[in-house]
Amino acid sequence: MMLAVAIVAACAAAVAATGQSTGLPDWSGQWENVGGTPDATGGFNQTLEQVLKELEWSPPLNAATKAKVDAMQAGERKRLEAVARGENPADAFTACTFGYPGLMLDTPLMFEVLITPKETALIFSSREIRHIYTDGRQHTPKDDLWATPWGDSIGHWEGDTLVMDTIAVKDEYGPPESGSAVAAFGDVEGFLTIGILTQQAHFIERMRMIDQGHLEDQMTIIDPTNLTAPWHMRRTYERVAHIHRMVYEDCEGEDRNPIVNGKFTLAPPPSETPQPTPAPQPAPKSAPPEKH
Amino acid sequence: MARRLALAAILLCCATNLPAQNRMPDWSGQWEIVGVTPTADGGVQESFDQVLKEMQWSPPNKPEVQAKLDQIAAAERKSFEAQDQGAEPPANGPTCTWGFPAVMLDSPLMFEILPTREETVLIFSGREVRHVYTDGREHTPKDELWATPWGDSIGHWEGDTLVIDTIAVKAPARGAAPELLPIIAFGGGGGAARFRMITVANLSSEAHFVERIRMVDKGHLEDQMTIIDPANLTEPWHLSRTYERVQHVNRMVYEDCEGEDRNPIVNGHYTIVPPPSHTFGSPPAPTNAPAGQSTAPN
Repeated sequence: MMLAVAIVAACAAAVAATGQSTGLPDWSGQWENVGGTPDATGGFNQTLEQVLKELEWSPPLNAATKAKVDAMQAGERKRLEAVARGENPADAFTACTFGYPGLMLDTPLMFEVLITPKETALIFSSREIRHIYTDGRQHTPKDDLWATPWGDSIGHWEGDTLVMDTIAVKDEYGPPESGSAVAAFGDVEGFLTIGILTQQAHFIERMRMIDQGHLEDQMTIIDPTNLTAPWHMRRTYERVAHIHRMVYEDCEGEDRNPIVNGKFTLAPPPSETPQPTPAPQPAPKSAPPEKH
Repeated sequence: MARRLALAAILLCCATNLPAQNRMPDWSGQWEIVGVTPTADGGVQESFDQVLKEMQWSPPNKPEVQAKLDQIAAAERKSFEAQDQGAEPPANGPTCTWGFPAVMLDSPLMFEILPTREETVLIFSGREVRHVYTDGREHTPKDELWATPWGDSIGHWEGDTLVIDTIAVKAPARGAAPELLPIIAFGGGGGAARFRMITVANLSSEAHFVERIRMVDKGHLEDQMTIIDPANLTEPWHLSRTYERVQHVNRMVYEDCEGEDRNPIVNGHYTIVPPPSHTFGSPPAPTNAPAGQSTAPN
């Protein structure tokens, strides 16, 4: 008996000395948002009204902020009507930086969650990365803290739930003092601003696996300057079905992973890379490849 | 009973010696390359000759490939000599996509490595990510394999060494010849030019890269890289790089290609400058990091 105890103790010491025990959840694979499925044109399968209805929004905006958001929405509705008439919006863009919290709330991007003892990284196919440090540190001190589109995140584990705490988020495309905007996306080129947050907004998320095929993120946003109460939202993510590795958006124009029936797919590579393949074909638009 | 317990304990102990199953090396923290030290003005501290000598820039190029490279190098040298004599350097923006293998060989970007059982990712401060799948899969089938600036990587663990196998790499520059992957050596300018660069090899799209990454001591990682490219090299090209811990920054700070300079280089090391005053109440009056002073070691 003592021999067994001694061996176990020695093994534990060896593990502690040479590596990390990985008693952490396995969230490997690629994930995508449920409820905002992308379509082949770069838009969404759902209408904006569907997205507004089916995903939780309802921000508790204070009166001043609501007035600003209403004014923004009036302009955005006009823009939507113009798009519906077939006009090209002047502000059409290929978004390669969604920023936080948009990344979690309604982007069509796929992402991976890499979990290590000291840090969890959420890596999105737009090459946006959220670093959640779980080594017990505090947030970055104020005199070192720059606002960025992804904020400053720390976290800890409560059982198999990752609790994330994020501050210092700014809009990538806004002025330096801007906070972040929360927008709902639907249709083609359709978006509606739902809330605007200050750079002092504080985000708390509880992320967990609810079954083998789904992750859930419960987000609470605290921003006393613009909100009358904490804003709660829930999102779920499902496994990407037709791809088993990360495929990055190519903002330089290649379309490696066209959307077919709301799902990411892979197009055959062009003939020159990495070596000629038999009869290169254009991206399939009707039947997603099933090869894994 | 005691024997059974001892046997169970031994089995448990054996299991923990399978790095890819029950434990992973701890390579946490931020890393930067040794031997190519960035300067505050975007150049390289080491002289170009020093870099050429110490960074094993001697690829076994085929004679016909070397002949073409000599022509390219002559033009590159001429350009830098002209800059030394007062010519304006080309208006290069910040380089935010280095691509592989440059991110491992001579980029000044800091990076993190996150090993998990199924995958190890290397995340660079230019928002470039290498995914090395270690779940036993093969490379992506050819009919799905797009060449990208980071290639297609799989790997496995041999003890605490991560062995990476990468194919399908293309140059990151838009408009670059898709069939060629130039390997460029960077070094200090020595004159007016902040840095010099010379194309030392031109790999083909069939180039195959094998790397062995391990921690040589608590403060250093090593990458032994072998490049196999029968189309352009006479034999495998072996290179070795060492990375050290970033000293004054304890989290990933991304390059901001939109113009903010959050982490200027001071004395060859990354630093953090105070944020602008409009953020987060009233931090100390915003100043740029004075040369030679690290403003925020943490």
